[in-house]
Formats: sequence, C-alpha cells, structure tokens
Amino acid sequence: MKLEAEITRAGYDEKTILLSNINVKADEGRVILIAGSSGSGKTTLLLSLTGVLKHLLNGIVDGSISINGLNPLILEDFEKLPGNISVLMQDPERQLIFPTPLDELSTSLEAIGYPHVEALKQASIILSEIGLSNKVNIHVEDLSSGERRKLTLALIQVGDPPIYMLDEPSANLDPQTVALLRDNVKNWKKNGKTVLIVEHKIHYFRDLADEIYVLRGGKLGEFFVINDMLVNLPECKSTSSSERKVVLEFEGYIGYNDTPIVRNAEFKARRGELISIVGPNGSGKTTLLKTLAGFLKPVDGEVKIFTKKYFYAPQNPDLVFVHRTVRKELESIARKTGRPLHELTFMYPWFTKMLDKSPYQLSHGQRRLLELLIAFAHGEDLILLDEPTTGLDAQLYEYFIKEVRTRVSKGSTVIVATHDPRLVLESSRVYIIESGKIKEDDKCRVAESMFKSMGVIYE
Amino acid sequence: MSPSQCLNQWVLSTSKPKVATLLVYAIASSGLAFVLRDLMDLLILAIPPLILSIVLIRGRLKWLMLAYLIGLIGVFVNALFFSNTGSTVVSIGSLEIREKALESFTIVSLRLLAIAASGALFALLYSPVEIYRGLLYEIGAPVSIALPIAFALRLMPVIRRDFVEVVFQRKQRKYRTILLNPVHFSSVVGALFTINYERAKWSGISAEIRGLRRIKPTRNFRVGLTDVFMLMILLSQIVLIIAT
Repeated sequence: MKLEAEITRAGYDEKTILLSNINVKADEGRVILIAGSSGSGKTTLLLSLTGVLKHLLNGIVDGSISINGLNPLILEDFEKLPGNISVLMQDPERQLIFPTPLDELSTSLEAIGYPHVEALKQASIILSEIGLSNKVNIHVEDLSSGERRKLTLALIQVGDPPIYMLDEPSANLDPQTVALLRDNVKNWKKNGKTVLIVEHKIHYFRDLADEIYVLRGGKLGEFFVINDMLVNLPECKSTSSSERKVVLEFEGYIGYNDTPIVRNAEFKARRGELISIVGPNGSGKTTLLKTLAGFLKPVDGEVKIFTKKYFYAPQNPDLVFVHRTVRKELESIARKTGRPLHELTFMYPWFTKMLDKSPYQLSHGQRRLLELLIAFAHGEDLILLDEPTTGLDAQLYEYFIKEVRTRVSKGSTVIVATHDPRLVLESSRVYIIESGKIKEDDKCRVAESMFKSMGVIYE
Repeated sequence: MSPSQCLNQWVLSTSKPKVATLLVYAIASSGLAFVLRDLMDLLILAIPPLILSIVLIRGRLKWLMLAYLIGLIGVFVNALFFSNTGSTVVSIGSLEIREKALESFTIVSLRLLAIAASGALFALLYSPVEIYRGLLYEIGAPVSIALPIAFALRLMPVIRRDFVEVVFQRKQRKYRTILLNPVHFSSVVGALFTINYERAKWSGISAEIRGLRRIKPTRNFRVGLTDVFMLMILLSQIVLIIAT
C-alpha cells in the first residue's frame, strides 16, 4: 500500500481537535477524492498525513501513517519525505518562495541534483511547456493567480514522486487549465501514481476518482456522491437590461505602468445587472476590475462611475480586513454602513461561532465569505468582485449567490471577474477578454464553452 | 547618459562583487559603526558606501532613504530626552537644544547612515536569488540560513504592494488612509504583519515539503577584480580611521 493512514485524532492543539478516527488507504494508480464543506478540516487532513501538522505547526497527530514506507510522524522519516511525495498547496501564492518562475523551478531542480546551468535550461523548457515562456523572469506577484497555479503544478512534478496530494487544485483555474489539471491527474493515474485530491468541486474529478470520501464533523464518511454538489448542465435564459440607467462606463486602454494589456476596451454596466468578465488566466481580468474600481489608472481613457456607494473586493480576502476579530469586523461594518449588527451576524450562521477568532484564522472559504459580506455591506449600488467563488463550497456558494440575486433584484450592480461557469449562467451579460481585446458575448454560448472545455462529464 | 549612469552601467556590466564580499563589508561596517564614537571616523565609514549606493542602486534607494529620514525624527527626540546637556545652541520657544543633544544626534545619525548604506549595498545590489546562491555556494551557509535571508529580502517589495492595497481597502471602508496615530498605524502594520507572517510560514512549509533542505552548500569563492576593489575600500577606511 502506497498510502495508509489510521489517524485517531488530529488538531492544532488539545482544544482544537478537528479530525478523529480517519482511515485512508490508497495503492498505486488510485485516485482518492476527499470532499467536505469549508472549514471541515480538509487541509488539516493533508497537513496531518504529510507530518507538517506535527513537525512544523506543533499540532497533534495521533495514530499511524505510512507514505511509501515512511512514517511522517517520526521526524527522521518526515525529513525523507521530499521525493516520495509532492503537495500542491491550497494557495499558490504561499507555495512560491522565490521571486520569478525561473528561480522557483531551477532551485527545485537543483534540490534534486541538477547542476545550476542544467537546472536553468530545464526550468526554461518546463515553463515554455506550461505556457509561461514569456513570463520566465517576471515577478510571481505579477502573474495571475491561475498562472501561479500552473507554476505550482509544474513545481510539484519536479522529481516525479510516486504520491501526489492536491489541496483545492481547481481554485482560480480557467476551464482550459482545469482540463490540463485533469489530464495531469489522468497521466499520474496511468503511470501508477497515487493521487489524493481534496476539493469541494467534486464534479471536476468525480469521473477520475476511484474512491470519494466526505469529511464531515471531523470524520471521513464512506464513499457516496452528494447530489447537491453535482452540476447538471443547466438551462440558460438570456436576459435584457438595455433600458436601465448606466452606473459605470469606460472606454480606453488598461494595463500596468503605461503598458496596455487590453486595447480599445468598451465597458458599460447598468443598474440591476450581474456582469461576468471571463477570459484565460493572465488575460487581464483583474487589471480591468482594478481599473474600473479606481485602484489602477487606465493607460488611456476615463472610468466614469455614477455612484459613490461602490466597493471592490480583491482576490486575496486578507487585504480587506481591518480588525483583529470577526466580531470587531462586523461591528465596524455596522457602524460604517448603518446596517444593523444582528442582520450581519445572522447573514451567515457559522459567524456566531467564529466571533472571537481572528479573520486570518478562518478557513479560505470563510475568509472569502467575510470579505464578500464587507463588500455587500459597503457597496450598496455597485460591487466589483474578483474571483468571488474561489474557496466557497456548495453551501457557501448558495449563501453568496442568494445575496447576489437579492442585490441585483433591488437594483444593485455586481461585476465579477470569474472562471466559474455557474456565475456566467446567472449573469445578465458577459464580457470576454482574450488576446488583448474585450468583447461582449452571449452568456449561454460562453457558459457552454466553459463547461465543455473543462473536459468534465456532467449529468 | 550622465557620468554616474555610465559608471553604473560599467560596474554592473563588468561584474558585481561576490555576495560574500559585500556581506563581509556590510558586517565590518556595521560592527565599526557600533564601536566608533568620533565624528570624523563615522564620516569616513559612512561616505564611501553611501556614494557607492547612490551610484549603483539609486533607483531602489529612495524607500530606504525615506525610512532613514523618518528614523532621524526618532533619533532627534531620543537625543533631546537623554542627552540634552551642555551649553544652549538653539532656543525655540521654551525648547532649548543643547550642545550634547546635537552631538549625540549627529553621531547616531552617522552610525545609522553607515549601517544603512553598507546594508543597502548588500541587500539591493543583488536579487534575493543571487543572495541565496551567494550564501549557499560562496560562503557555504546552510539552506536554513540562506533561504530565510533571501526570503526576507524578497518580502520587502511584496509588503510594499500589500501596503498600497491595504490602504486602498481602508479608504473603501471609510478609514483614514493617512496614519495619524498609533491606532491607525498598528491597524495597518498589524494587517501587513499578519498577512506576511502567514506568507512566510507557508513558504517555509513549502520549502520543507519540496526538500530544499537537501541542497548541499559548497564553498567556492574566487576573488575577482570588484571584490579586490571593495576590500581595498574597507582596508582604506580602516587605515584612515586609525590614522585620524
């Protein structure tokens, strides 16, 4: 057995035991998929299995684990793990250490014995294979989050380990890169690798998985498929909003440091619209959103916003928080926006359990939802959201989309940069950015193409 | 092209000194700055690295200089509180600035300047990866030392970007963007600290999982022309300090 674990209990300290009686077994060529809601302990499970929780985060892991014959709970074996296992971390930004993609890959290659010059050469080849040949020496912070994910995917394949563990691998990926990721998993499976995927969008990998588990209440449930997490190709209805009042208008060029990324952009948003901006990773969606929000100046042209009540929520939710506890965040929102506190605390039920926690200690999905709550409270007329559904499980997505529908029906405008076809289907209109140009397209056609290009088999 | 740009281009195009050389220079300068008390000695120590920094890394020096100038306010207040003795030099209303306060301010300012300039030469002339490789393959420092130093230097521009975003978010949330009091300051610094502490923690975990610990350091230091030049500057400074 390549991977065998019987964890009696695991957690960050005695007071926060998150997992109990977990049994996982996987042999060569098997793909195990673990689903679970946001904050259910999926990442903690991966950290426990790799020994990171015990040795690097001073947590508690009781039980026995065997990974390719090594027990990561013993320090000596934990140090031998690299080469036997590769882990794709949830947040690609946190997995990257060095300033440029070339540095990242070449140092990893050096770690497995490549001489410096050879490592540089090999790293350049890998980067051109994954479509980053023109971004070899660009700062990783200047890559889009999808490009960072591509880079981390390449990184974990250095050394060709027998076991792969992936934590929310589909986050921030465009449909083409989801297809690439699925191809990787297929290849690993074909080549006898053991793959453990932690993911709440289980429909992305359901057909590739040999076993599916669900983590609930700290325990791993036996194989079953959660029906509400499956996505049927839904019916698409076109909507019209051309008569409504314009709230935002832009004509011009957008980019960074006077270098245009999108030329001759024409963008218009009306009251009561949900507008999706889609396009491949690195095409300029975030740049457009930041320009519309006033964070970046357009290279040419002017952004006209006909309301003062607007809010931009960035991809990284951590940047939005101001206070040290969730309670203080909520109190501050209530104070600044005049919305009653009880309305905010009851908007999302689990907040009541998290009130005294630091916002930074919440799970990725919970942090995202808190950020969205802040955005909804402040942006009464216009809300600009960058990849808002990243990290949201099915339940949190429902909270989110319900709020969006309510806002839009009351006349607010919501603009999202997204890779999520579910949001595209909900949209009033869709803009596509591709090859430096932006154009409006039929949402049904775009959504169908996004669903299809992922290579996912739908019901 | 101005002469300083020409010199800059020439120095960078020929060869930079080795990371190890500038590390030795920065450590020696900082050590001497702590020990010396004489104004002339401190000037001899501070001026050469300052000139080199301005010539070689001018564009990237402005943030450090800004931090230095802000730091001088603290140095001056400190001198007023703890060394304001001797004859009065300047009177501003009820505030009397005395001889020893000015002397103390000048000495500490020069000390900080010498440390900042030599440190800037080391930290800003190279990319974090060059420093990582230099420490690892020239000095033979273990990865557990080379990587955190390189990562800390890499975080600086990242923190600057985060700062701009955090301030923008504060503005959106109707908080002050000009940090007027310690509460505003701690709210922004606290956010930046937490975000970057998490970033550093997970990058450390990433390094462990990727097995960067397994990289074997080596000592491969060949002295080049620019290394001799830097060591000559250090030697000249020491000789001049002893002579004066």
